[in-house]
Amino acid sequence: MEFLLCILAGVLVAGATFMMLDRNMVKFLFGIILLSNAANLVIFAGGRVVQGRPAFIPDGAYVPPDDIANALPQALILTAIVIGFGLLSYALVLAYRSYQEIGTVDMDEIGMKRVLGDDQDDLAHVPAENKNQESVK
Amino acid sequence: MVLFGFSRRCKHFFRTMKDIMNSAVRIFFTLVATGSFALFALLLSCFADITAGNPVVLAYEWVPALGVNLDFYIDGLALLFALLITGIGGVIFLYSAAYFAKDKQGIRVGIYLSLFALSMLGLVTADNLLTLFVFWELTTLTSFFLIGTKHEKEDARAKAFQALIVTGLGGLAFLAGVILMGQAAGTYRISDIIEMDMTGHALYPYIFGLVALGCMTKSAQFPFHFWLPNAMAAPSPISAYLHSATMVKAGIFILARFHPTLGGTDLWFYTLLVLGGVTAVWASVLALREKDLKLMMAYTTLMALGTITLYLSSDSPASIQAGMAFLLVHALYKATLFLVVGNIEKATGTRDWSKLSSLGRVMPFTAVCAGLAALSMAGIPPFLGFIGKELIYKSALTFPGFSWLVTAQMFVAASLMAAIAFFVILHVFRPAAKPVMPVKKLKQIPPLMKYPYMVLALLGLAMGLYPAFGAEMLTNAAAFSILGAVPADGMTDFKLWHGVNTALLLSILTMVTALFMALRFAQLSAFVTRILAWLPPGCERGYNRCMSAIQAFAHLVTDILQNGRQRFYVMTCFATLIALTALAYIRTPFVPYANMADIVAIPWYQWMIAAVIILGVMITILAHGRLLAICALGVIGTTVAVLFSMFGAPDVAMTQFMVEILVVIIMSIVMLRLPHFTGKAHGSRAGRLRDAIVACVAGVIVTIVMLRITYTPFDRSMTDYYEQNSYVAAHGRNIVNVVLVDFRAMDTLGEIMVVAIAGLACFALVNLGRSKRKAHS
Repeated sequence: MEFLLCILAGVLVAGATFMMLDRNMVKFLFGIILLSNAANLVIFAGGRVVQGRPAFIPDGAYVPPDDIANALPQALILTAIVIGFGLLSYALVLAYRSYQEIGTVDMDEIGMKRVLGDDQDDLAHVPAENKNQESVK
Repeated sequence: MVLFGFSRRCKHFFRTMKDIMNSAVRIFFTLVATGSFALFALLLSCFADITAGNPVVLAYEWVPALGVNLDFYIDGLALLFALLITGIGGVIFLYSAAYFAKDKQGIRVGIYLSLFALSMLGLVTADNLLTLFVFWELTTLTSFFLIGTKHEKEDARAKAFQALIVTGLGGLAFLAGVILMGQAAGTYRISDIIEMDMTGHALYPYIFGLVALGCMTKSAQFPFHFWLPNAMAAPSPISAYLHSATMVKAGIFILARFHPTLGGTDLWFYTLLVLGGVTAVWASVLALREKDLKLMMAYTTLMALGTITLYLSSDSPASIQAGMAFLLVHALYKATLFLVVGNIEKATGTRDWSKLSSLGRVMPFTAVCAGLAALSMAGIPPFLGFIGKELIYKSALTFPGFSWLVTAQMFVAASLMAAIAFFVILHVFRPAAKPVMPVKKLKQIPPLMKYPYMVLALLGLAMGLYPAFGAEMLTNAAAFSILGAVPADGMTDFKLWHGVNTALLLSILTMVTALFMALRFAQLSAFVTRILAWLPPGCERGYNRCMSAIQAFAHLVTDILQNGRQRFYVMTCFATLIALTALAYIRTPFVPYANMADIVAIPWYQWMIAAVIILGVMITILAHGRLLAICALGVIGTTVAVLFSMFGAPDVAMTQFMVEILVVIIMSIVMLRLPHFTGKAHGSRAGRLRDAIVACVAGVIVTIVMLRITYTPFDRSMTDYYEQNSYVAAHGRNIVNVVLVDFRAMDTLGEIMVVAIAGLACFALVNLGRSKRKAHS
């Protein structure tokens, strides 16, 4: 039963890795979504699965019947889904804002801009008097 | 008008503040000087006790668990150093009170200087190896700050840094040596260790090598000597205190301290003999080249340090006594001479001897001090320097093994030093007929810089006239601590007149040679400079090469690892993950991952679901349009949710559905504002292939690892606990919910906070842009 989940986790990780190596920041974000799905499946399979027996205690009983689904990984996945969502929204807004500021979503171009940006910062440290002199010239 | 009046009042206020600050510097230094003299008096009160062979021991527990105690142990050796530190320290603090009075950084320098004095005092009296090391490092650190006093000059910063690097590296070696020594001895208590003889221990060569490396860097022995002249970037009183009288002698102190434990072997003997001898001769030659009086003094200090190191190599009582006597002599005259140079610089604004002459006429007090100290340095009777030099010659003549070599070295070094001493008197201070510089434009020297340090110069004379009183007792007490016992045939008496012997004849020869050289000093200096120009570049070049090589290497590593390309970082992370997992996989024993029966048992609709997910991944990767990719992502998410619900996780499935819908909506909104995909996805075809290979390997590794995990036995005890207690203890029938809100409620709280913070951060990011745009328009 877990066999299928393991294969799927592998496929999702492969897809996520490939997309995260893309130059486009948006594809990188898609990769993150796939990766968080893969992580959930890994936790799920790691806790072993049974088919169609949710972790409930029937009315009138104090303990659940034998051989029900493992509740602990489910709780962990719930947490992981929500946190993954938080991460994704933040990354999305960050991507959006960086596109607004830098004007590109190409990772390699952003790297180049960062190097150029350092030089501009150096100019910003030049004392005010020098700048004035230059502007007078 | 109001503004004008206000600014004038402000100016007045600041001037008053400045006066107070100046007097604060004065008050501070005077207080510290008083404290220093009080300690000096306290140590003197123990003098009789300690010289009689009863060390003072003080003990406090500091970190008992690690065996680090604040124990102090003052024997003859520690007493000699402690008296120098407090006595010379007091005089120098008084001098500094005037020297730094108008300096903005006066208080700062004062704090560092007093911290240094305390650390140095701790260093020489510590009875625990680790405490000793802490004090050792404190002196290095305070020295760094003090050399860099004029930190607005790049040159001073570079020199301070150099001193820190050289002595700091030596400090690391020293730490390793100290720990090895403690391990080998089984105790960190110094007073116990110096009772032992470690020369036979298996670790002895390492202990000696590491400790000696620390001492050689700290005491600026060849080939690490270059940092000391560079440390002259510090103001004169600091150089006088740290780089002549005390700190640079810390290495010598350690060598003397562990002489009983580590000394007496060939390794010890030859290392100290060669390095000390080379330092002494080489430094006195280099001193001739300098035009700067302070640098001259620095090189003669190196010569003295080399001499003392050389004399510590042997374990004959005569040479140990000579070494300790020379240490005391040198501290007295050299501190004085540095302060004299400080006065000259303050009054004339230069330290270049070629621009100075006839100062005796205009600076009589300074000239008297300089004369007293220089005569002691030259070794003229009846000064203490004469007695020191007699002892040095006497013990050189009987030096075990290499007496002719040591005698020759000492003769060269002593004559050059005496020549420099004579030259300072004759050229700089002697009233000349035609002075090189106009003598009218001198600045006034404040009284605190004139009188107190005269005590040091006079001590050199007084101790020479009555040597048996102070100098002999102190020197012999230190020598006895090094030797461990009073030698059977006693020590040489400190006397001015020992009758006509070889040492006296050598002394006379030295004087004649020195006088001759002093009269021809300018020619000699030019000659030495010309000779030195032919020689290959020195040790400092080596240091600079090392430093630039380290920097180049750091740049290289940074360029490779921090190249600013996100995709490279991602690639590095995945490659590392793959490599580490593969490594772990190879090292574990083989187990079967899956059996056919399980695979066949999977029903057809589950295969269909898996196929949908795989298809979704393919579409996401290959999609040219953004909306198609988002839709495919949505399909993947919802199909995963179906999987959850199928395997008994309805709550997870519900959440996944909800989140998936939200993700699709938010993604679509943001996508509208982002540009379309371009063709430059993975750079080139090769890049695409490389990325695809990395991705496939990562996926395969994850699948293999997961299969392996699911085919190992499973420990369900934690879930069993939750199942047993879910209703009984927490009154809930949905076990997943109970786990979330009860058993692991703190996790859930943390999760909520993460989402809340992410939401706030998104809000802030979006609004930040908005206000900026408004400001632009």
